[in-house]
Amino acid sequence: MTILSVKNVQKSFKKKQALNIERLDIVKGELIGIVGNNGAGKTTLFRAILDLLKLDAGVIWIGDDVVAGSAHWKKQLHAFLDESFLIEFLNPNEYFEFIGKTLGLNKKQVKSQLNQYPELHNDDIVESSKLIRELSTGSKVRVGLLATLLGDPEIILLDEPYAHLDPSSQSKLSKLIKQLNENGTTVILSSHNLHNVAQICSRIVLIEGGEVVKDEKVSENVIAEVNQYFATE
Amino acid sequence: MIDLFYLKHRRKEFFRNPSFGAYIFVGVFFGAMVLMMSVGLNNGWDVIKRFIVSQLEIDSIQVPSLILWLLAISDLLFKIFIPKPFPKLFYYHTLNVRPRDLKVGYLIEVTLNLWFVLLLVLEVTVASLCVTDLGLGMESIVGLLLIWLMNTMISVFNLSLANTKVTAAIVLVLMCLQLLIASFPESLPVTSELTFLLIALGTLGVFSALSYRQLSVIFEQVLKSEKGSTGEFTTNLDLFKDPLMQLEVATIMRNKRTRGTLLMNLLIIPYFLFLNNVTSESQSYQVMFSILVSGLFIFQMGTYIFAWEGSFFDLLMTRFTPRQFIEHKFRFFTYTSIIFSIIFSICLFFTHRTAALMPLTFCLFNIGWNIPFVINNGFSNKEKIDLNRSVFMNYQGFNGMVIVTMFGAMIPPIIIHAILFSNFGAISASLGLAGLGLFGLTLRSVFISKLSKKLECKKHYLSACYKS
Repeated sequence: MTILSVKNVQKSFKKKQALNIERLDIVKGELIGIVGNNGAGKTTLFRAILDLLKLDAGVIWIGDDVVAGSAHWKKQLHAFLDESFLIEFLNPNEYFEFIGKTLGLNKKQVKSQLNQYPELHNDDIVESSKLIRELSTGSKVRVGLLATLLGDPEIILLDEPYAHLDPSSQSKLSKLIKQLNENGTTVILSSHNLHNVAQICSRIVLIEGGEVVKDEKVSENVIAEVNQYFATE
Repeated sequence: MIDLFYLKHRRKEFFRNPSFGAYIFVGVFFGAMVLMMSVGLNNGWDVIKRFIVSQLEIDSIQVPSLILWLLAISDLLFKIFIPKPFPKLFYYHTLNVRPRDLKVGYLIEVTLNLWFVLLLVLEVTVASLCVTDLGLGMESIVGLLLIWLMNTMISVFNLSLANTKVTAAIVLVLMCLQLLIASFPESLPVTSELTFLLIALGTLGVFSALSYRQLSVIFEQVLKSEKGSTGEFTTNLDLFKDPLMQLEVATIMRNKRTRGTLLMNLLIIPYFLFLNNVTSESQSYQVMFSILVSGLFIFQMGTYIFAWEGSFFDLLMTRFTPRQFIEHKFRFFTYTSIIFSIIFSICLFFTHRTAALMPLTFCLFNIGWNIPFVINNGFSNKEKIDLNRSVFMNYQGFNGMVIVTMFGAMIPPIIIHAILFSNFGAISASLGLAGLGLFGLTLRSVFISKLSKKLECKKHYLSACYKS
């Protein structure tokens, strides 16, 4: 069952093409890695999916809803793209409570949901009375990631989740994403790190110049081809 | 109860600190300075009063009230800003101490802090001189001084703010009471000075208890923290059910720019009441300041709407619908307008009773017309505001549209009021303007719909602006 569908989407910035995707369908329960060089259009695609970008043409569907102008999808899809998804003058617990409230969760429910993810929910976040703006970049990313997990969303969108994380946290995150996906959550993530994507994703989408260059199931051959692509670019 | 364990521990810590000599020197120096200032104030009180009267061109009878007002505000500001490093300090100083001792120690530390005591001496000197001038009885003077001491407890309590609606309401009422007492000390105790004294004792007791409770909460939070608190305001977000309203409170309390704007707003009220006393009888003066005070938040915060939220605009737009966001802004500005209008009306009731209802009239107009007007103009503010930069000399986000919005919001009601006033008199003018405001209120859902649609269209553009 298709849960997210991108159709004939076009977007240009000052006549420079940023997105031109004829068709991209994502099936429920998939774990997709979107890879590409800087400026390839990964974040632009994510912003378009979140209705933070006005499209020149095309339409994006989440379930039965067209994203632009509707709100139902906001409870189904959670995202963490960058620091603009954090409220820096709250401490992590207050931030989780705020996000929980937007989803109709009370404090206890928020706490019990967060406790399901001890990989990310370490003491430096749980017990911290520091405001988010005072946390390290890696901790900020972990706070953002945890917030996306609240409310058991159907789809999770993560832009460069591995950036700023230490190797140990990267490994924990990979395990967590895999576990979430096994429980039925659709995960779409972008990364520069092909190794991480190859390790956990079942499908890989290579974007360049705003266009989908390759969209295949992950296999050794596909990874080798993508590696070769980046080597020659 | 004096907790000797805590005091011993604290003393040890103090003398182990390599800077303890410098602290003692500063303490003695500062203490001597404060004492000299107190003596100087006592000796030169008449000269000071004459100077104020000649400079501000006010009646000498108003001087004590004016000074008490300024003292209350400066005291509050000082107590809000100075104790910020306390949680960190206490965490450091009280490791391995039992929680019960910590709570007591914390209270001892705060209330008996050197700075507090010395400042209290100076404040009490000034307050005593003022109340003596007002010719009050002994009970009233003691009562007033107790109320003054309560200010300290309010400040201590404010370090963490209230965590329930009831306690928050008590703080608000008592703070208003304190400012009113400072404004009109001669009016309150007239009926029964003993009653006033008992009320003062009671409120001091209540606030000491509340402060103790709040400090315990902070302290436990600090103890849980591995690395210690940063001493930021720990606003409890359970104050409101609505998450956007919680966010609004936290935005104001946790960021320098918003907090500075709020404090400047609060200072405008005594400025209008006292410093412009000469012109305060004029109708145009009352009109202008009524609209400004009742719309303080709308004008000050509203002109930067959306840009305030620039740093987390994407989050808001992916969690809330534009309609939810606009409805919340309407609600927030309505509440603040009502609160400011009521405070100003109460103050006017004691000073210029005939104009007491004027702020409420303009409050209706502001809620009816100026909230949608200001929100609409907020779409033109494309620069994300760095909330944690000080408000002073900070013009970030200030542009031509801010000026247009300020004048656009103030001039039409002043003109309408002037036309109605010159043709039909003061009461008709007020009623006419209030009626117009009510008409605007009936169109509220239309305004909300239109602004929500506009935000739906403009959110992409604003998001891109705040990113750049």
